[in-house]
Amino acid sequence: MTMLAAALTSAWVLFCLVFFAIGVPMAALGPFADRRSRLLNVGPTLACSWLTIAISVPLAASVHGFNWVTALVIAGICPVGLWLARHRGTCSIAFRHTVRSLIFRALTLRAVRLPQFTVREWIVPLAGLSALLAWPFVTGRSDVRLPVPADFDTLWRTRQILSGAATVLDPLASLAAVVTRIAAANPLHVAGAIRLALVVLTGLAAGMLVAEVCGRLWTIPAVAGAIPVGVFVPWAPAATWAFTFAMLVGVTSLYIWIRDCRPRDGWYALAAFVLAASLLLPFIGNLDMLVRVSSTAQYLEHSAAAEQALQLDRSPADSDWLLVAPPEQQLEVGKGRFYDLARFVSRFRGRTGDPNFRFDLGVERIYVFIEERPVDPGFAAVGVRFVAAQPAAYQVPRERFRLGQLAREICDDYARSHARTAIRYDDGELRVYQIDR
Amino acid sequence: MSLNAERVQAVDPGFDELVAAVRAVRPRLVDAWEATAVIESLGYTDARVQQEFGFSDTRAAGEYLYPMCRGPVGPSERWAPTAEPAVAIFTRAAASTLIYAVPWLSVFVAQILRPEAMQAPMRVAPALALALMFSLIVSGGFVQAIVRRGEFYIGMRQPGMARLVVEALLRFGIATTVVFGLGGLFVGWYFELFAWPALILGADAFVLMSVLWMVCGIFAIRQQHWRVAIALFAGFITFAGLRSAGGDVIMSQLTAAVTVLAAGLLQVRYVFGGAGSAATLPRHIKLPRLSVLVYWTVPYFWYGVLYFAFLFADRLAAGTAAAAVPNAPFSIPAAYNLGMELALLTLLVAASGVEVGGALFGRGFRAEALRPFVRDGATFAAALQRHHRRAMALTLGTFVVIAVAIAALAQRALPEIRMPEAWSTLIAGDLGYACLALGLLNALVLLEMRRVWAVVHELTTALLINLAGGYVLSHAFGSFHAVDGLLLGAGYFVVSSTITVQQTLKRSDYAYALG
Repeated sequence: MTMLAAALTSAWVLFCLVFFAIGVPMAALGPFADRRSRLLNVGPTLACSWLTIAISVPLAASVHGFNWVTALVIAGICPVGLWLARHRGTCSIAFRHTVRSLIFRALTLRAVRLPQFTVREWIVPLAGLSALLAWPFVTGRSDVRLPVPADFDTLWRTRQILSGAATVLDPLASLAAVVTRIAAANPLHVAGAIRLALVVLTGLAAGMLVAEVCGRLWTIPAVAGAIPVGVFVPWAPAATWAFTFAMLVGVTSLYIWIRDCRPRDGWYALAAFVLAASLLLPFIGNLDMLVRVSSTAQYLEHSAAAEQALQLDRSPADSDWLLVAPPEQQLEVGKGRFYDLARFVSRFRGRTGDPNFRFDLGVERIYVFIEERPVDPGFAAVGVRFVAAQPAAYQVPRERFRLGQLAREICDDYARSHARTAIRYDDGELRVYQIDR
Repeated sequence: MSLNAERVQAVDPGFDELVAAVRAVRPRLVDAWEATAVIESLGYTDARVQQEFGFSDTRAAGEYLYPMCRGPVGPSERWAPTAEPAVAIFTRAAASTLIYAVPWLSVFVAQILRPEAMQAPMRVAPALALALMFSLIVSGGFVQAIVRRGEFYIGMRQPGMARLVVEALLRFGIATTVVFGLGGLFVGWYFELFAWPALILGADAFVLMSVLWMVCGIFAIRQQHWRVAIALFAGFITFAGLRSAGGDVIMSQLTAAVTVLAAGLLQVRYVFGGAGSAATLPRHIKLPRLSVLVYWTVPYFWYGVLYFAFLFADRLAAGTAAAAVPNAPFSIPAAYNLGMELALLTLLVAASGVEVGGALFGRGFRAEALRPFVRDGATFAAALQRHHRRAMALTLGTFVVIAVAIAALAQRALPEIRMPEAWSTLIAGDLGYACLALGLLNALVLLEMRRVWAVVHELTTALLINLAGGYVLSHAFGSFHAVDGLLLGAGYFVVSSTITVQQTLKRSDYAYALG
């Protein structure tokens, strides 16, 4: 995948996240004359919409009813709720007025007035987010992998929600699942983009708290100061950023509520604290994962493995193929197209040299990922539930390497006795075989 | 009144025309104020009556004119509603419903006798099924708008205006359909619902069928259902000819649809001909202001959209529940489809009962106007409620008889219907559609009393219940429970609409004034 395509995909995912989780709820809330900055609404509205998503997604998933339509409906619950709360008592009048004005504006061809957008106010976060998206172009390399092993748990749970396999109580995974459906992107891209957004939003929330406590003059320096944080901070799980963000929003809203005595801020504080508490739910009994911070990124897979898996995932929906790979790629292509490498080895070892042998996996094309150099995440992977749930062979680097070599033997034997087998990719770390039926 | 006025009106033949016009509008004036109001409604301002007849203002003209128009009205001049004979009502209602029920039945029977002749390939069948449903939903709104506005202008003996308005609505409907088709194409591609060939075919079929339903709807304005029959017959002949010549199913279906559309379009110009031909229609008529047109048609548009959305909501829920299977975004289980198609056939045939019930209520509603109910609103309300109960009984009776007949025939002819899932779906579907039929009768009663928005509100809530209930139940307990959503929604619709009708009839004098 090219750097540009990755950046565009991330930008699209971020747009969907910002539009549906922040923009639409803020529009439903309407203008606030009493707010010193519109930026102050970003945190509370995201907390409210995120909490709605965290409640609704498990409910929809529990009846196997989570799909792109319900994702859009769920994304609409919070704006509708906020709009109803804003117009409580006069909802039908406000609705009629809105609909009529829209119809008559459309009929009379009068332009619909867009919400006011102050460039000076929004320039810092928008420029910061753009700078973070452009950072790979500056460094000359892009990496679509998740840099913290704990994030694989979130990606795993996101996949579980998307496949409808289980009801999962994880607000971060629920948000990722909704954005995945709406943005029609790969969950790996979404997990990476949400991670990026959370880092920036946490910085923004911290900046807003500083500005509220110390005065308005501090707003822009505080917000601007949060941007480099996205690039230079140590690597922490996305859930840690999410928890910090929710807590900062809660504290800010609580502070304003105590200071100004407006009920709305009290509700915001409550929503943010409930969200923060619910973000801890998946880590009960494993809270040390949240504070596991590293100065360098620690990957569970080769960069090429993630890129090749994403490339395959973008192939047309009706193409008929299967990916044989270590378990990390299962989260990148979805369960329906994945076959475990260990199973592949145990099933086909010593059989493929026979010219009459055929892979009976029920597809036209098979891709086999062979790690030529095993990845060793070290201590960072300890305690990660996704890693712990995999066969022991994958958790010991030597065994993992041996598994790869056995799979390579299978493919080489098959290639010697059969036509239509090719090496699709090889960079010394990863080799990808393509086997056509 | 000045002497000048007397002189002017004595020599001005226009004043006689004004008197005649006022008499035509209101043969028996109540007082001079009413005369003034009628004069003003005819387009006469103070300046105009001063200029043309020499009166100081319209009030003076009204006072002068009132004694000339207040004379006693003879029995022959008394207004009497045009009471359509019951036989005519039955014939019209049966024709309007059977014209669609018979082709539906023919296709249904053909699917059973020669399934291979009708079955589309599996890769495109779901896209085509969705295209059919959404074409009915989107065009349903435009059909309602076209028919209601067309009937209005035809009733005012303005076929030229009717033609102009209907053509404008048709053009707008076609443009909207194309936009929706492109939107559907984008959604299907973006969310990877179908492969490109299926998407293109689905979008084509959606636009084609939507236009077809709208054109067929135009013939309902003057109850010329036989024109629909001609168009559908041409389509059937085309399909049968192409299939027997070895043509592909999809190609044959689309060509047949194009034939129906062409046959319909060729006949459209004769609908508004009236006594003369289409060529004699005035050419200088201008379309009413767009905002006024939209204001009057919007509630009927939503009524049509909601009605068809309600009809297919359970299938959408069932189709997506079965689609939990990978690589199948939409698929309805065969047994569910069979049960619901039989139930829908029952509704289509039994809709004649709804039509007759509604027409008989309308006739009774107008007939009650002749009886003196001075200061006795309760008796008037009781009379109208009696008409309503009769219409409900007729609708329910018709539905039950037809449902039993179709179920009995199906049991003899279709072994598949004896499967427990199909049979239970048929029974639940029949119950749901029976409630819907009663609700639709209530809707007709409310439309008669111009309470269109009340119908739209109730149908919207019923649709939401149908969709949400069907979606949750079908996903939680299996596709076959989607019909429970229909049952819940239809149950709500019949209860809420009956309450609304009863409340409206309690204030029957007001309802009558509106109606």
